[in-house]
Amino acid sequence: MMKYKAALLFVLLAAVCLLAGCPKNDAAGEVPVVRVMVHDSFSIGVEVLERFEKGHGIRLLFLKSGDAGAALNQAILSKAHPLADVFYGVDNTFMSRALGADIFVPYSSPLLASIDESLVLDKTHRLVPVDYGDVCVNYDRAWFDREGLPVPQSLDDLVRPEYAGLLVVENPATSSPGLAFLLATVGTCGEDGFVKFWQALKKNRVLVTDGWEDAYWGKFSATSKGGRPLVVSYSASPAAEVYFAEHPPETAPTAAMTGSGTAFRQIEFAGILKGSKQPESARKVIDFLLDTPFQQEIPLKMFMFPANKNARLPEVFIEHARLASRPVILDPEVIAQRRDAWIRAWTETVLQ
Amino acid sequence: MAFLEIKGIFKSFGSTPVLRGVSLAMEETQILCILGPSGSGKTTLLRVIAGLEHPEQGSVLFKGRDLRNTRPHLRRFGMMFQEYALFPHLDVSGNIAFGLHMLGLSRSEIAKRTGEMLSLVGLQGLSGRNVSELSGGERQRVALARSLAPYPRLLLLDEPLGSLDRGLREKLLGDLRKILRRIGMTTIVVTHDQAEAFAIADTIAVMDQGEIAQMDTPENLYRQPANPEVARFLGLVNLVRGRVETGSSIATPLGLLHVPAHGHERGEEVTVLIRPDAVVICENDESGPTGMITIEGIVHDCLFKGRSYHVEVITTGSQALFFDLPQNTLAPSVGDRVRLLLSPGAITVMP
Amino acid sequence: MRPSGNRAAILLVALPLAFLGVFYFYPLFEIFSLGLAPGGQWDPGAIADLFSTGSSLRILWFTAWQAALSTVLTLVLALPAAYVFARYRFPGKSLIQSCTAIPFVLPSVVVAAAFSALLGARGLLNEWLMGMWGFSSPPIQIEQSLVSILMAHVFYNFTVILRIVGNFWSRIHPDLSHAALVLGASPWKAFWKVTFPVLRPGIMAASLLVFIFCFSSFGVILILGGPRYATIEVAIYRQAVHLFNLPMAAALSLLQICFMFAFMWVYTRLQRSATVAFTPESLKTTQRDIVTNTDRLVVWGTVFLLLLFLGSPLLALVVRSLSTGSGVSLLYYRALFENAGQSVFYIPPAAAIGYSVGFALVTLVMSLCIGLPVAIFLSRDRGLATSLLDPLFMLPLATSAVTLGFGYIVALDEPPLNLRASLIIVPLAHTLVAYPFVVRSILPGLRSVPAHIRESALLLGAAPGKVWWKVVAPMMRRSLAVGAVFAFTVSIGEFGATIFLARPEVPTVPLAIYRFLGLPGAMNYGQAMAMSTILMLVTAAGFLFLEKLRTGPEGEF
Repeated sequence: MMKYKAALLFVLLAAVCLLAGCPKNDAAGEVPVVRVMVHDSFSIGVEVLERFEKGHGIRLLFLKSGDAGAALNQAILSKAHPLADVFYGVDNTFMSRALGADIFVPYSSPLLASIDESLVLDKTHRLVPVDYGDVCVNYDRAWFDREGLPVPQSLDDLVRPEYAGLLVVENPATSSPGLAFLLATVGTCGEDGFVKFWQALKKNRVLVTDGWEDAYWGKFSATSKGGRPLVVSYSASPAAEVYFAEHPPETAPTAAMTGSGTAFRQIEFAGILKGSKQPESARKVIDFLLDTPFQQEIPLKMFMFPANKNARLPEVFIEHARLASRPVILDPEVIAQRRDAWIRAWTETVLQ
Repeated sequence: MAFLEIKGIFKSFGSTPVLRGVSLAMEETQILCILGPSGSGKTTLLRVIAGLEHPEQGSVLFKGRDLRNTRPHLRRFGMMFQEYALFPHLDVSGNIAFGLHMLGLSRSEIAKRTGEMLSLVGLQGLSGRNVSELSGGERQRVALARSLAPYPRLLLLDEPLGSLDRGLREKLLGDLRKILRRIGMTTIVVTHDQAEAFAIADTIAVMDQGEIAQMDTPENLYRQPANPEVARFLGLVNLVRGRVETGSSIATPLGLLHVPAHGHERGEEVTVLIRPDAVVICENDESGPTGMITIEGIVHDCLFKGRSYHVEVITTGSQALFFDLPQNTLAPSVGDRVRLLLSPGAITVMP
Repeated sequence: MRPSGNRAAILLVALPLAFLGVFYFYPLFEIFSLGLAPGGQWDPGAIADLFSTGSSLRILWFTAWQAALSTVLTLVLALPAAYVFARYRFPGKSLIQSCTAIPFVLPSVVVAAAFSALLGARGLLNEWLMGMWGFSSPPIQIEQSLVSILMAHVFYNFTVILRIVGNFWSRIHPDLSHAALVLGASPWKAFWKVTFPVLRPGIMAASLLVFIFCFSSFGVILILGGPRYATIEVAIYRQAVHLFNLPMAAALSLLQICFMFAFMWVYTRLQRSATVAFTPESLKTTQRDIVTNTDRLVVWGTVFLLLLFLGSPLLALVVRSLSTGSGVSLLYYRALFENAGQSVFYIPPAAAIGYSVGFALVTLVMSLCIGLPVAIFLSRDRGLATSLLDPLFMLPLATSAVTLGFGYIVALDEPPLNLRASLIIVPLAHTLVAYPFVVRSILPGLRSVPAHIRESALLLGAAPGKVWWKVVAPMMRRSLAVGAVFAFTVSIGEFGATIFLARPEVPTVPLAIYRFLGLPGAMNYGQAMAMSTILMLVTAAGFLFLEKLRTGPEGEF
């Protein structure tokens, strides 16, 4: 008998847990819900969101769908029955795939006027830029101070013997910063030169990991027991190191290499998905993503730079986040055509 | 030099002593039965002999050689386990042949010996049978054949009939005795059933609380139990406390009993055992032949058991005594006042 | 077989088959037809590509042999522990045994962090060796190597062997091996000739699970192996997510599924011949207390090694979660409870735990509902049907999470199966990977129950259904508990499918950990470690609760 009671208790417990876990869909009946598909790194503040929802009488339901690549693929796969109305998180390396799949409808938001012109890569306005950042090498300041070694300034420095065994990069086949850095080397060394550069880097004992998490948290000397003081990350990462420190330090423990031709500019876009049943509300969401209240959230929520020129940057960003002086920018069309070949060449050079 | 000698074995599990200085010796071809209630340590003793348990003290000597450092698989003893422990992944002949394979015999020798064993235990024709399909009796026979097959020097049987039902037990008991006698196997049998022990053993060792209370032939054991515990365990329950008055009389609640040459000191406290069978009932007032002891009492219960009546008598000293009367006597009725005549041979005096 | 028996058997598997059909085969079929027959036109080009370069076959070969090697290693290391847990009673046993399953719930990023804290170039062991013996460079260099992969696989799967084989072993009377000894077999021979063959169904069931797990290994290969190593699972992920080459991903998935089906079919045939009928013994007769010094050495030695190997990486995580820039403190734990950035996606730890445990309990109930009938069905040998259905029921465990995840997107998007935004989709996906554990935990024991036990209960007047409940079920209760623990654990730790399917406001603990790791900054890393520690504690608490359920007033069978 005890057994049955226990089992009953068990089932009840399961039910309670699920009920407690059920999000409260209190307003779902009256207010139109706009579904926004985003990647894992998307974040937004409570206040800004609530003000928008109240102001327009819309509720936003976010669907997180894996990393940027996985999220986009799901959007493409579900184009017959779109999962969402708005998609955020296509970057310029995936842009052609997204446009090629024809899953977005154009919308020329009035707010495009205040968006940095150089970021608007899709002139048809199916995808509009929301934020951007530079993928580049970060270094461990304390390590270089301790060793008395000058910090490398250019890609060519990285292949010099004194920097042997110091760099960790991500696999461009599996990681988006990894791909961005590969594109930086392609842009800087040229289509003929980049293989040679990576050959030299390999000789210089570059370490490759499959993802940013493992590189940054597992191998980078500033954050872990890993022994490598150079890691491919974002130019805004040092600001995050300060912002997320226990006691914010005067100078960041890490810094970004932002010299000319050492970084790749990654731009993230949003668009309205084809087949959305409420295009009117979806446009409002695009406007919201481009407008200053949300734009000013971007730096401290996602550690990217806002695309809107009028957005004010927070103190810690002004202080510790740098943009590369002359980042590599490649035509998305070229990236789309050549990416597989470049990755294959890279894999053959570095991994085999 | 004894065939097997056990000297001063001590063994405990945690803080519970199980064997407390067990010593015994036996000769070749003898069948020794270790008899005791459950928990008396008899199975542990058997496992010590087999080498499956290590005693804290004492030694097991085989033909004078200490087996302390001889591991179980090198002792060449056969053992039959309580639940038989047949190998479920092997068929009947696979089980019997297991020990032969371990001896490294040739295929034909193994087949020959396995066949011999199957016919010894009367299981010809079951050789390919799966052991999970066997009946209890068949399992017992397979286990016996398996332990006998690799020519053991000594056979150890742990409750060989323990888990079988009554009718089957009696038949298998006879078979077991015949087989062991025929091949002249030196055997130690562990059992809790005195009937089984009497039926099979040359010598019985009664174990009680980790010690050997008495070791003797079945006849001597029955006639002269060493102490009340042994008597009780042998099923002899008519035990009366008493005090020695003279060299031939003992004072008990039943009155002064005349027991010639009991060999105890005057004034000594003793226990008197009255055997249940050597008794005659008489209803008239005549006193019996001289030398007979008379006990009076009221019949409390009378049970017809086929060959005998089982009678419970409450004596004048309000002591309950149990007797078996032959079925050809006139059965007393409950409530009758009776007089019982005992021959002195029916009485044993124990310390 | 009587017709009524057939009908009963069909009823038995109807629910599991329907479940598989809707939540496994249908999504799989949809994604495959999208990949291999775009626009309704069958295009075998991708499958031809698969075999043209040979690289796919190389990946398949690596996947198979690393899985086989991992399985053998795990088996060799875990069998002695399984013996100790099967044969001895000692204080803290069930807790220790349950806690060996903790690695199962940890995301591989976290496990990798733990390993590198211990064995990395600047890890504890290397620093100690360098300090102690004056090595000039770290003597242990196993980062991004096969050794790391193998170690992590053993670390993860130890518990599978320990629990399934240990449970099975504890049903076998120790007199079996004693009998072998007395019959002249050396201890080694007694193990090989008697214990091992009787134990084989249990060993095979557990090994199959470990093999499939290592075969479809993903995070461990990516993070601990580094980019030079790729299993089919990794290759599918790269093709599907990064290259969006659906035909190739589908072809690889098909290769993975076909290989596993063939493998498991062979396994099923082997297992059938290995099944041994014996009466399960009560733990009272098979287990003993620690008495002699040898017992003490064996038991506590094993426990010590177990804690050293499985416990020290976990301990490293706990230590990391407590050591802040200003010494030992609960800073990171406190931070978990504040929404410092006022983010919409902030989740209080209690809520994340609630979701995780809720999903896990629903998964547990569903896995038992699916797994139990499947196990009963498979235990009654039915020739061809069983030999084909057995591998079929194991397939979900061996199928790439990303393939299935994409399949869900394509297939479950229309009413009445519009489940994409529903909460139930997470436990549904978890059940697919969890119920095979239930099946494999129960099946070896169920198959070994000799027919005469069922028959003897029949003679006493119990109807077939009752026989099951009165005779077989009590014997199986422990196996069921083992299966339940696995279902719970698998659900708590599942990551690959969850990240696609869970709604952002209802994240599980592993997802919450992953969110922290997504941004730079010491506070984020610290909170990830704190959350991992909490995950371990919650899992251990869940085990204790399941243990309590298991040992009711009647005690263990």
